[in-house]
Amino acid sequence: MKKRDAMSRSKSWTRRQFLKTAGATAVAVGGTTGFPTILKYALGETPIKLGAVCSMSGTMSILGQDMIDASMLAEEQINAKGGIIGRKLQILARDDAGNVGLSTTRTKELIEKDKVNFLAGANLGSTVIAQLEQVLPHKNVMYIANAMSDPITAVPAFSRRMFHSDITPYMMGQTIARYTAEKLGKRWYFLMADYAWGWQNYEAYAKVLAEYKGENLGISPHPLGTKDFSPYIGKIMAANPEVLIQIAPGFDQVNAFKQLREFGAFDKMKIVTGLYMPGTIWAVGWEVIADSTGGATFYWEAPETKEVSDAFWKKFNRPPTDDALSQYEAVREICSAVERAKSMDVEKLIKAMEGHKFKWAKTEEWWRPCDHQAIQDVYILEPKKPSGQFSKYDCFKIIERKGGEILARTCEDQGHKKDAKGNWIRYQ
Amino acid sequence: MNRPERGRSPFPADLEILSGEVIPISTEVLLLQLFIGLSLGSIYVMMASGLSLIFGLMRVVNFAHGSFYMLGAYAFVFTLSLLGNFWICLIIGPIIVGLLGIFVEWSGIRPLYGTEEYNPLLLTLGLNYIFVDIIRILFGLGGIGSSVPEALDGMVNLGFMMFPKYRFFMIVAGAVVVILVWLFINKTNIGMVVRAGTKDNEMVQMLGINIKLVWRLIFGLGIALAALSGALIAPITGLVPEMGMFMVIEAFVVVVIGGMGSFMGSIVAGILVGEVIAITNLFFAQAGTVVIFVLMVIVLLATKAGLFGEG
Repeated sequence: MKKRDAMSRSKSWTRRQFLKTAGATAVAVGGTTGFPTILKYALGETPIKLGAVCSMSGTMSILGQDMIDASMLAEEQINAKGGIIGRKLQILARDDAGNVGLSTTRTKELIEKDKVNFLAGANLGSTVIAQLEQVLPHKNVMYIANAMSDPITAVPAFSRRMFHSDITPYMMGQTIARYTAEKLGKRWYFLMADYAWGWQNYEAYAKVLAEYKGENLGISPHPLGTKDFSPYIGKIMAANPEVLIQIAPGFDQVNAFKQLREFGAFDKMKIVTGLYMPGTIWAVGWEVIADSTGGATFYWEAPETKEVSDAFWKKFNRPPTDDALSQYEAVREICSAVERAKSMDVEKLIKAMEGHKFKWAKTEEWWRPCDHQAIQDVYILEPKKPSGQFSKYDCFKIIERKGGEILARTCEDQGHKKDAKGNWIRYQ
Repeated sequence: MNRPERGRSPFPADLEILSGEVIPISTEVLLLQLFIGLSLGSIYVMMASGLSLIFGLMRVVNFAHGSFYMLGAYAFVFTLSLLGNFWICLIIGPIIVGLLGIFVEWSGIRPLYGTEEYNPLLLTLGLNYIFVDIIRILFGLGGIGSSVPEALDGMVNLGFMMFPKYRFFMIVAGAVVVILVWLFINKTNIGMVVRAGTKDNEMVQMLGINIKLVWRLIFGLGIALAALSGALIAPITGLVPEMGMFMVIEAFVVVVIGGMGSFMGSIVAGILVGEVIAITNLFFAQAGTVVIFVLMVIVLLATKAGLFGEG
């Protein structure tokens, strides 16, 4: 019995022995696995992750793919110059097909599974809201939305952790409407996509038309994704407007133009479009939009854009669209804010961005502090026979350029208020 | 801090939205709209008659019909880019897609005959997505375009109004195709087998006729009709891989209104749906999409089995 006790005692571990062995093992294992990981982090090999959920399929596919390509270009350029605060930037692209449910799922995966630091993207106001709802519970994630929408920066949707890089329908509508009322006529009829974006545009046009004492002859709202516009054309012809305002994205725009031309509408009225969609226009040929007038947020031949346009062309063999440019700026801006703040802290980043003036691919812009909207210029374009370096892509000429906060809805119209100390009240 | 009420519109309450204003409608505009309805209807007729033929004979609910419509449009534009002749491509494109349909019937649907009725439905539903993705890979997400041939460009004077030549051609082409298919079904020996097979498949087989070969032929014909619809619409619209997704729903609505499996029902319902859409858009554009579903509900409630269906 004593012998057994002696043997068992000799094989048992004292606390000192255990600590020594455990320490030695930890050093050995850590030396081969753990410490290099820590070292990697210190050396900046853990990337800063930016998730981009865009519509790479569906009716917005051209625009969504363009936004992802622009993100990749920004990533390449940033990493070529050493990354952000010593860390590489990594873009994680996801497709939501313009579907709210899918957008929610993809965003949730990016935040919770892939642990992204930032999000930038979305093609529709509805997908912005879906993505924002996923961002809100995670206080360390910031989001730059890119869809053209007014309510996303208005109370109650607005979040202090969200900025909006694209132009708003109201800003675009105000610009084109003023030009149209001054130069093309004041008896208008509207052919527009029957969803939030279309109606947000309409608000701006209707206000300007009332201001210019013009005549609103009517509206034909059509479902998004309409292929055949002929059922709407009889009513447009009956209204006999001086100007037909066409407001629809993607292929709806070129389909409407094709069929309006087919029915001879171009001979009877001026056709104005809220926003030219270059991607779809390139797909079907510039002749479809000939003799029209419309808006854009940039032009790739303009001096302020040429450098980025050329880089995009070199990488993807096509020039960027306006959605690509605003996504490019979104990625560059959030990375620039990290560099300036020298921190990933959300509070410091918000401070670095609010009121900041920037110029990445367009004329100078700035983040309006009240609603985090990028205040920017709008270009008025007319189609022309393609020429120049970009061949079939270079099918517009710049007629005019308007800009400034005056085109945007006021902070008060957006529902933003200041407290007694003069600070903007934030609800979320 | 009081949060503003969620869902409150950020827009000013006094925003005036004009959508129900009265625009005087002349007889010419009304006629224009009726002809537009006919041109729309011609596409619906071809789509729905193809679906109806397949269902009537084979009891296969072909959910891939919309993607065959899309394939027809792409095949037309692709062959046009190679050959440059609108008329030849308008025939070749649908034939190619019709042959693809025969292959699909032979390789995919035939093994499912005699199994549960929903199996071919699920198969064609899956094919729908496969075809869309194949076109995305081959032609890209961006879509492609085509244009109306010179001979059909511009307007034609109908005596009482001007109307786009190409739309008029669509109406004539639709009418010619429907007459040819009607003659095929009613005046040929194969058509007689098709009609007999629709009534009683087993009896036809007992007479020593290879009914499965007839099924294959009819499946190919139905698919070619969908492809021809796509080819006809291609010059006046941009082509995207998803273009058939909603079209197949509309085609099913037409088939249901006309009566499942009824060729005559598809013709009447196709024209009816085209006209209802055109006229509704003239007076109340907001209801232009939903009106065909309302029509379907009314017809079903009133007739139980569609206008020409056998309840």
